[in-house]
Amino acid sequence: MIPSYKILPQSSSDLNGYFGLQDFISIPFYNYESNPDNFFNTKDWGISLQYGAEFSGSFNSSIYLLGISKRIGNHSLSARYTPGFQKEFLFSTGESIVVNDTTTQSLEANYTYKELFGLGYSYKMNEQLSAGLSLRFFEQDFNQQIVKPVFGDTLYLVTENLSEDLNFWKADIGIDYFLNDQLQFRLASINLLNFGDDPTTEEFQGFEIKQERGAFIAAGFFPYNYLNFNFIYETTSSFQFSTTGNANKFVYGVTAFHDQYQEPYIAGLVPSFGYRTNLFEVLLSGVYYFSDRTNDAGFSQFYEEGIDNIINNRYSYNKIVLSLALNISSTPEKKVELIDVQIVREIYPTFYDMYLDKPFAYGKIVNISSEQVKVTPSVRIEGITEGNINSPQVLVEPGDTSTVPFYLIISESLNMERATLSNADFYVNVTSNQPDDEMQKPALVNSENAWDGNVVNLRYFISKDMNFSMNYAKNILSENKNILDSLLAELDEFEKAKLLFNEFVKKMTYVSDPRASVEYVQFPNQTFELKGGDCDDLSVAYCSLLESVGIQTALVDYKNDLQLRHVNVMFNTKLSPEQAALITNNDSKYFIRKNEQDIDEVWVPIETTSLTNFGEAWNLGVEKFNREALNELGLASGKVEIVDVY
Amino acid sequence: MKKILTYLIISTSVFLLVSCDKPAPTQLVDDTNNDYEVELLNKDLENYISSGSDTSGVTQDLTGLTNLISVSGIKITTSKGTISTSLAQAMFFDKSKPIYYSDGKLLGYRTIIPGIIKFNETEANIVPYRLKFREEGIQKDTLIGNRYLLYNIFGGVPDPFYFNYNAQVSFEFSTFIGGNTVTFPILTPKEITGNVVFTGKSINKNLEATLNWNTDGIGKVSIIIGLIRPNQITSIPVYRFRTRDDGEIRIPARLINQLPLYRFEKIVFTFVRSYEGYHDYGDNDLLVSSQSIHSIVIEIP
Repeated sequence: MIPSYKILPQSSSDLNGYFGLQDFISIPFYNYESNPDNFFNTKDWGISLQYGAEFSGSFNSSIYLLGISKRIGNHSLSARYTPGFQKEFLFSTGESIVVNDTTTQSLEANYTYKELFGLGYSYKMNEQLSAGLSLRFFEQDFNQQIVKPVFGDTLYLVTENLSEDLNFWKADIGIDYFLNDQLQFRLASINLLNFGDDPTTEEFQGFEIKQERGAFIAAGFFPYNYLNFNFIYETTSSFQFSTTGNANKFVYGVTAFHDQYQEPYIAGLVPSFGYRTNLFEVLLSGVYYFSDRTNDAGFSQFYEEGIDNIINNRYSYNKIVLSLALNISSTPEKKVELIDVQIVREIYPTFYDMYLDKPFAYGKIVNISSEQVKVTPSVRIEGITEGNINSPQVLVEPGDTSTVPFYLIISESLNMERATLSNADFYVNVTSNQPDDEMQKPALVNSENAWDGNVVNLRYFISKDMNFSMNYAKNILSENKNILDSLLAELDEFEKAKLLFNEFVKKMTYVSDPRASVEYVQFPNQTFELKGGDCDDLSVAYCSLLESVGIQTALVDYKNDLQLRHVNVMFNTKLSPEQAALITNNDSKYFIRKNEQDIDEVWVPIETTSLTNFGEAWNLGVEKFNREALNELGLASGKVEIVDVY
Repeated sequence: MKKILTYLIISTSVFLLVSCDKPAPTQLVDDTNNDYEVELLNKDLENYISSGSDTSGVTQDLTGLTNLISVSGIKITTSKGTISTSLAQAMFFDKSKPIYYSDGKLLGYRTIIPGIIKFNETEANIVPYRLKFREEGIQKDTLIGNRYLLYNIFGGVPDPFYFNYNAQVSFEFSTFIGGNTVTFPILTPKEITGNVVFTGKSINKNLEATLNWNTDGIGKVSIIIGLIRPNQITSIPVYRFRTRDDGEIRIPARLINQLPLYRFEKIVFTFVRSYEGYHDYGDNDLLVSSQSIHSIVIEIP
């Protein structure tokens, strides 16, 4: 009789105003209405509750929403139960039945529109783009009294209750695009897919919730943290605009909306104010309509236009809504990302403190938050470290990329007999124990006897079994106490070195390194146990003996022949050049070096592989040193290097 | 802290869920002008007895109880065309002379003829007034007296009484003895002309009727739906709808399709726009009525 037409009022409206694109809201309130792609920042489990009250003349409070969300990598899933998303209309059908001459009975109707629950899925493709869909389930309960004739022997008019429940699903998709930190966009469908029951009862046809397709585009401009602007335009010429912001842990905003089917032009406001922590968020919001909603509404307009949005239509009352969200896992918002890690050093377990000074890896991080952050890098290698080894904090400005070092402390109890390939886990943390990002890389962990060929690092082998060397050296010196006591005090170091060498070589034979492909260095106790070794092993063992009794040593690295490098020993006699005659009149048999006080001291080179006696080893050491280091300018050219053990 | 908050929010949710209301409903006020009353006029369609008081058989409840002065302009539209008639009648009852059914139930009162009545200065005829009724399954009639009657079926025949629409009919009463005269005008309503869009088929039970008429915009109209048996001319009134005089009503399909239409040949939609006024004279209430009637007779498809 009277044609009905469809309306599309503010399908993107929700109860919290425009918070959908806000980074500072990490826990969602499941506002599928303005956020159909349900993009949000929650990283783990989140639960939400919305409780509100309507001012309809009386005061009705109800649970609007209970929701849960879960983030799995770049996938986020959410579900909500919305018992309070319902609108009930009561009216007289206009039909009356004359019961008798003086009495009539008016027939009543009750139409209820409900959105019962919704499901959401979103996929974050990259930092700029995410897309998703929402699926929402609606129920429409139509109940109406009718008068109906019943014909038997006589004709009667009876009153019947006519009812029909219509269910339908609504599916929408949305895309969020973050152009940069200041401009963000959202494109989403409205009523993209609707499928479900159609009314079969004539009386209810035309009263279904309107499901006209449309779309909305939203833009957000974020010039400051404390003040930003958002705008949503719907294809039906409705729009809303809002300003939101945050200061410290407080969030706030106000949304105004125009709905072409609501009066006045700006139909209402949605103010919001909230407080957030990493663990929970609470938001107090309201919907205030500029038109008086407590006046009686006419049936004719409802009949002609119906409704298309359950929570915001011309019959909606002013509301106040309290939203609570809890982050169950307390996983903080990710603030930095670990882009890449480069391992710059192999791991030699014996070099236990070398990685305290020299990072074994460097990571590249980027601050994706809007604030300056202190990043703590840390690393853990299974079987190598005891827990995570933290490196010093690095300060990174918003948006900046920075390189962070990863230092390492190797467990003292480590006993690596052979090289293994292990996984190194690299972490970057900002505020909590939960890392913001992590990366795993394979790392080669050498055996404890492995050496990188750098003579400097032989010091680690020298100092490894210092107690053993000390006991060994003291035993020898005590056995020769009479000799030492009868000498000049100035010759103490020289004679000790001589005695120790002569005892040392008695038990040793030269054995070349059996591990051709890998540098292998014995610890002093292993050399004594095996009664031999190559130049590295013998030099390490002899140095260890000398150092254990306080004689300063240096390793002489001969690099002339790349195929066969050689190491021998030089020790400090503590004699001055003037006192050198106490040990030799041949000034080519020693080498003058300045100590830390810039005083010249006499150093003597010893060829540790000459396993005859001290004099022979001295002669061979001097001969090699003079030839390669001095005559052939090895020291000047770098082909011969003197490396102080300490 | 985290656990406490989790338990707190879950327990709060459960508490609120079981304790709170549902959102407030909206009570809609009927501003459609589409409201109507429906009244069942006859329960027994098999044994209906017409009072024969007018050609449509549906307009007045002439049960012999209420003193009545009535003028009517009547149109009857059939497939052959439209016939216009005018009717004026009056009847007065002697409440001291009741007539009862055999079971003691009041049937009516005997009429009296207190004087001379003129409508538009035409003297009304005095004719016998028989009341038809059914008792114990047998159709009976009884003469309860006389009544005043004028009717003009065609061009002033048999009586030169013309019903003037949207105007007035003059009424004059003179006693036989003493010559006291009472006169007053009876206002008449605007002529009503109806139209029926009747679709569907009875066998499919999908008949639908949408009725339109020329609206007067004020007051109400009555629409009476009646049925006519095959080979008969008397309509059996079934429903009376009373609705605003806004020009349109859609008859709920169920009210038509649930009727035993297979026993009837025609359906009659009668549009009635009337002015009525009761005058209280103690035990002798007087109903003064003027009405415009348009009956449309349609073969049941």
